[in-house]
Amino acid sequence: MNRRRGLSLAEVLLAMLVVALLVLTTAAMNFSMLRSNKKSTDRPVGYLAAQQILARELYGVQDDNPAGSKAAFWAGNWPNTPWRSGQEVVNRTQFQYDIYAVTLQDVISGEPLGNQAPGFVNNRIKKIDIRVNWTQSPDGTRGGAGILRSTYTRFLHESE
Amino acid sequence: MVLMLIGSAYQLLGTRIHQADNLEDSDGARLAAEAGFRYAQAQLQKDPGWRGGDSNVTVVNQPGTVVVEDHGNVLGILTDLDGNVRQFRIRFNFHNGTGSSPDEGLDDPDTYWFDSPFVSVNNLSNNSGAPMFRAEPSAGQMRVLSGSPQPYQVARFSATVIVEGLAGDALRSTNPTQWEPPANLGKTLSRVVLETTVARGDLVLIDSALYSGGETSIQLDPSNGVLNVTSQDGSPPKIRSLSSIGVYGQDTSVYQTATDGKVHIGDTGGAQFRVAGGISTSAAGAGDPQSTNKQVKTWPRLKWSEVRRAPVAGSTLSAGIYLWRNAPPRLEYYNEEYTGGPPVGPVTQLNPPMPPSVTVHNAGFRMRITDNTYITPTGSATGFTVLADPALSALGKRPQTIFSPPAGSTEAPVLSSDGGVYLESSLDGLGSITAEQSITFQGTSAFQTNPGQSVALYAKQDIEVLPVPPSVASHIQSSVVVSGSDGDDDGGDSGSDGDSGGSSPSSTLSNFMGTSLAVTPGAQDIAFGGMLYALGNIKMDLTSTGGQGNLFMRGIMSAYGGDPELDQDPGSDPLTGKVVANITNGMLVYDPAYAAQTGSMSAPSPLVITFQAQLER
Repeated sequence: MNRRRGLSLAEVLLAMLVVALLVLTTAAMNFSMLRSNKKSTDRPVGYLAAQQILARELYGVQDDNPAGSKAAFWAGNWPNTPWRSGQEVVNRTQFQYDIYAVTLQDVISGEPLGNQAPGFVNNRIKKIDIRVNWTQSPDGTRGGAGILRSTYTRFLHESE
Repeated sequence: MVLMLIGSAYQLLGTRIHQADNLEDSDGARLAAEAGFRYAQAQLQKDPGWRGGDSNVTVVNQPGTVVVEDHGNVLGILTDLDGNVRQFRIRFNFHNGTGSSPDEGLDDPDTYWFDSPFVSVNNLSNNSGAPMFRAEPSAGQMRVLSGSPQPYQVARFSATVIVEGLAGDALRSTNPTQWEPPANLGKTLSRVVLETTVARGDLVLIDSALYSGGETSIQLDPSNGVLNVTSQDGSPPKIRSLSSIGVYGQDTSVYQTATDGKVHIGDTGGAQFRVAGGISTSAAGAGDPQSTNKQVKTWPRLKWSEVRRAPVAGSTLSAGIYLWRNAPPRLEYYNEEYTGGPPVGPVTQLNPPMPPSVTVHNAGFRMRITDNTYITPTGSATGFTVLADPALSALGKRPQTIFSPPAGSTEAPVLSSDGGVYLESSLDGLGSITAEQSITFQGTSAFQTNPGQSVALYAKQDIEVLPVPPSVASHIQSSVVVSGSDGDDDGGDSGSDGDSGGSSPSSTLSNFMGTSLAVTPGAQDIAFGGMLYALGNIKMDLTSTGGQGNLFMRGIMSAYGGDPELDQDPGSDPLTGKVVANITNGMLVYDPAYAAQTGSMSAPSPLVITFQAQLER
């Protein structure tokens, strides 16, 4: 009579070890993918927040509110140090932002591009850059994702 | 199963990452296109003739922004704080060489050949539409050829700028030297095409044959007089007043216009459109009240400082009174300012010498101006006055003041006075008069300027047309003759100073008006071509002495009632801005060709956005 041999204890333990390794690896990869997925979800949030913050800041200055701010904005340049910095909560996430602004210069004339001809004003352009940083996601589950960052760039015409 | 799970998770994650990238890249492409439009806007406002430059130059070169213009093609490379690169591209160049039809007047680019079919058009300086072309593939490039599609026209005084914006990882290594993204890298590249039309706000909104800051009152022949208003460019014919408009004649049919014509009156102070003496709400072109704020946007604002005038240092004639007398025919000069009557002092000079720009024909009582002439203030006189001895009028004769450029020239001569211009004579020919006070002359005149010079008459006070003296009227033999001829009617002999009789008056006048005549011309008519611009009032009296006289006008008539030089709106002065006319019939043809002086086209000008759309992604 033939009796089938069963698995020894060592074989079972070895199989369980392999399965455990597979499961742990899979779990680890899933956690990593979750973090990346969250990051890719948050990037548009940051991008849109940057848009919103910049629009608000520029609206105020183009509206000359407070008085004199528009003239000061267009007279100055902030290539390396921010023109404006601050914090803002958008959709329960706190964003730290820095805004830089530089007037475009016409290399040929040496004057601002669209230079103010006598009697003709409001024709300059500024390149505006905003960078927003944030670390908290709305549900507070972020871990190990580090500081998230998004940038937004546009031209602003003086007559807008 | 585990492997399948892992594989699907990575697949989905990749999609999510691409989604995030796509949002930023597509929006980045849109922002790049908008940045390109803003760049073009600044250049066009500074220089309305700008079309992306006519050489190969770097215009902007600073950290984060480089813009190069290459014979009508513009490349902008923008870098943000994270090093992401975006581009905008604008194309004016047809890529069809030099002199080929259609010819945009640009040589082919040196470096930046864009493969886009979208070509921008700058039509800011033209008073008619221009074709918009789409480039098509030809010999490995996208070129505009003679048979290329023309999907629409770009409106007069407008420019259509089409900007291609690009964003994405594929641009990360690009720079002005290597500006095309490397092929086949599998990296993302988003593209947005933004079309924007801008227009010269100071010109494109001008839309009416007649503007009055105050009231307009036109008295027609009570038995059969009509006022006919049309437009040369097919737009709805309009007349405007910030107050009331009254057209008085036999019945409500006296006001004739197209079915889409408009009569815009003020919306305050009980302004009305009155026809045939009654308050009318249903006459042809019923009164359409519009707010002052809205109406003033359509007003031609022509500042004294912008009007083309005779140079002070050029050909000059002394200010004062020039009196024509007979027996023998002669011209007497009095160094006096005209105060409404004959000269009070002795003759200063008999048959005074004339500058090269002025010739006098005594026998014909004719003064001919052939070039720009400045009236030099002399003694106490600042204005230029031409009078006729009453004895002359009694003989049925009257002087003529004629403007005509010399043979071979089409530039209308300008007469400019620091005072007023008072002409007890007809006013005929091709020219322009500017005066710091009023301009006055007699009826039976045919006076026009070139469309590019725009202004026929500009008075800082009033423009006034007086009736022909009855004793003279009975001797007037022919109707007004226009198109640059001398309008010789009855003043004296003909032929000895180069007068020509002209062709049939009706056909000439019809040709000049650009349309068939709505009224039959007569011997005592006046005809204008150009802009008649008074900061005060415009008064025309052709019939009060019992005569019959029609008004023909092709162009734009404006009684401002204020001073645009002082940034005053039309109608600022409640006492002026009126149009008052006693005429038999009137024919007004709005012609936008006279809206702008060609010389002012190159000056910086604010632009308004009239249209914007995304064409392609």
